[in-house]
Amino acid sequence: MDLMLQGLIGILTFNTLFLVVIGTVIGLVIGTIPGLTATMALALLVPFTFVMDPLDGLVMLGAVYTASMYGGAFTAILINTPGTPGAIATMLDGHPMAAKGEAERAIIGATVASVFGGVVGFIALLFLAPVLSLFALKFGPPEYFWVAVLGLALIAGLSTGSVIKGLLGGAIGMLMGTIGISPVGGEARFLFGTPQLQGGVELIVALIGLFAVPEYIRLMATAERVVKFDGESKSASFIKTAKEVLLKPINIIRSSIIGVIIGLIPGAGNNVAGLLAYSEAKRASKHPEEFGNGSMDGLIASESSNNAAVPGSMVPLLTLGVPGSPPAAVLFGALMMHGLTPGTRLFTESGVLTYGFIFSLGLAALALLPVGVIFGRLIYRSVTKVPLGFLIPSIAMMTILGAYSMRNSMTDVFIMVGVGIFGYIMRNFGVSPATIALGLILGPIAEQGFAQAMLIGSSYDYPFLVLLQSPLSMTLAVIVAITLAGPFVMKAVKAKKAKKANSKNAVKE
Amino acid sequence: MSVVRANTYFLVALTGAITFLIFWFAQDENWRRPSAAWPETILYGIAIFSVILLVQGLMLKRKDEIFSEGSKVRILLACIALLAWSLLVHTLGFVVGSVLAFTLMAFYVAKVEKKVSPEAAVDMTKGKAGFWLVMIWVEILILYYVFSEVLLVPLPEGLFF
Repeated sequence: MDLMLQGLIGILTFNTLFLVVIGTVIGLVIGTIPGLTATMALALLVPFTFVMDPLDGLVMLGAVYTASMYGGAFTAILINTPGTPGAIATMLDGHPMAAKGEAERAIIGATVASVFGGVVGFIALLFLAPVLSLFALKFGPPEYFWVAVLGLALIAGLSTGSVIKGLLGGAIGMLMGTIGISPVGGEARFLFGTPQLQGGVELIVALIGLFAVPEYIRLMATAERVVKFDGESKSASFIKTAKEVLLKPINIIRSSIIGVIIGLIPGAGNNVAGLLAYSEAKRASKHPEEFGNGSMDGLIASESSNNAAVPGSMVPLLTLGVPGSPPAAVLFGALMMHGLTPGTRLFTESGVLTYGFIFSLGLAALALLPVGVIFGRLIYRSVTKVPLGFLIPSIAMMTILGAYSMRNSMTDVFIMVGVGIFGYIMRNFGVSPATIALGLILGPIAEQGFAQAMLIGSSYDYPFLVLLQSPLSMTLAVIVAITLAGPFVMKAVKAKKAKKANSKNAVKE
Repeated sequence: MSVVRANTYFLVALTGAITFLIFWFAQDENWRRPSAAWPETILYGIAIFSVILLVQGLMLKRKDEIFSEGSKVRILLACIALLAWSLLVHTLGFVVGSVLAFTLMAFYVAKVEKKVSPEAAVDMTKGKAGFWLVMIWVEILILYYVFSEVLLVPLPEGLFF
């Protein structure tokens, strides 16, 4: 407790608070631009922290990481392009809200939900880190497989119109995820004579293609904006919108907890957290039909969970020394550089610094509130006031820059263009690009989990039974079954009720 | 502009079938089981979904409007322009290629917007056109500086820079 207090006092200086704000602004800018990632920002900032006091350096890095996850929401809401993979689910309802003239309401709602999620994640990290790390250790290949399958079950929910079209989209996404070196056997798959494809289809490159390119084509074809800032757009009151968000306690708490749990699992990441929380919110909602059409519930679920996943992902890093995501790996390096060795003894040997770093994540989450609302409104007004003749080429240029900067490769740019045109065509055929993205994100996780589980179970007569061996994997399998069967059962129950009501009416008449 | 209607179930089934064929024949028989099993499973899934969609298409016989947003010529132009921009960046370098592509696209869109929604469009005078040209250079050079000098991402140089 003493160490915790000292850590808190350590960061309550003007200098540290200033660094939190600076880090938050840098993170927001990075998160807003598709193609610039939190990993890139952290990797570039680490050398600058050499000359800083260790706590100041870590505080700044923590703020950048937290804010970059949230920054992806702006482009998701305003131009239908997730700035970070974690904002895919945000886009599903955020952009329709903006299209209805409620961009400010969406931005404020996303900010409040992000702050709430960030604070929940911070509390979990501060008080439950050792317990949660034990839980994280229970996740083996079978559990990873089921988490991925649970995410894939969301495809049915993301499909607009035909579920089969959505499933085919998801399968195509999963197939795209198999291009490159196999994660288990090591063979090069589906290179089509192009050695550059060995690295596979980079997720961000595909996301830029699937979401930004169709939006660019649509803007060019119509020469009209979807999101406007004129007399018809409604300006939102901060207090009213914050109340609206916080008065949905079950959704926001459930989504934040999902975010923390998914954040704990190395490799799952905040993109999976956002999608799973969205799926659960839709399943639990009394008005699931509103999801995808500008539902505040969908926006809250996505944003609270993907921000709760940030401190959640710090648990295995700080307690076990296992960096669960690329940004966490960079932070691992930064901690080592400042003389901290992540692991079980971190909290006792360097407690003040460690707690200071944890508190900085909480402070960064709180800093999102003023910085995020001001920054969000500024971006909204800028995006809607820039002449279309400038906006469309700017989007086109950012897609090229974003795709190129991932691996400094023109091949990625051409992949982005190809995937983008394919995504636009599929959208016109009634296949949501989100289903393709979901397949691409979860396919490799599911493959790795499945293949490793099969290797573990190879000594058994029925190797696949290893997928149901532990209580945790069985629980996950049951949740998957409920998620998949739920909509059909509900549909059948509704149909039965409607039939009963109709027959009663007929008898009365 | 004529309205294009098609049975999208057939079209998606066709896309699935083409994808299946391309990837099925790109499989290598030397792959070991752990590497081959997953893509093979997905391909079977694609084949099944394509058949279901084909049957649905036959049963529903519904024709949906496709590519209904805006001008079809501009849809095609947008695709070609993005590809051409990428090729220009590759051959001429990021700055020169982008200035060329950005300028052409900016003035083309301004012209189209004037036709489509005159009330929202910019009245392009000589002065304004000059201002736009300056702003295009400024935007591209700032991005070039930020990416190549601050973020240390070496942008394509091509023939120029």
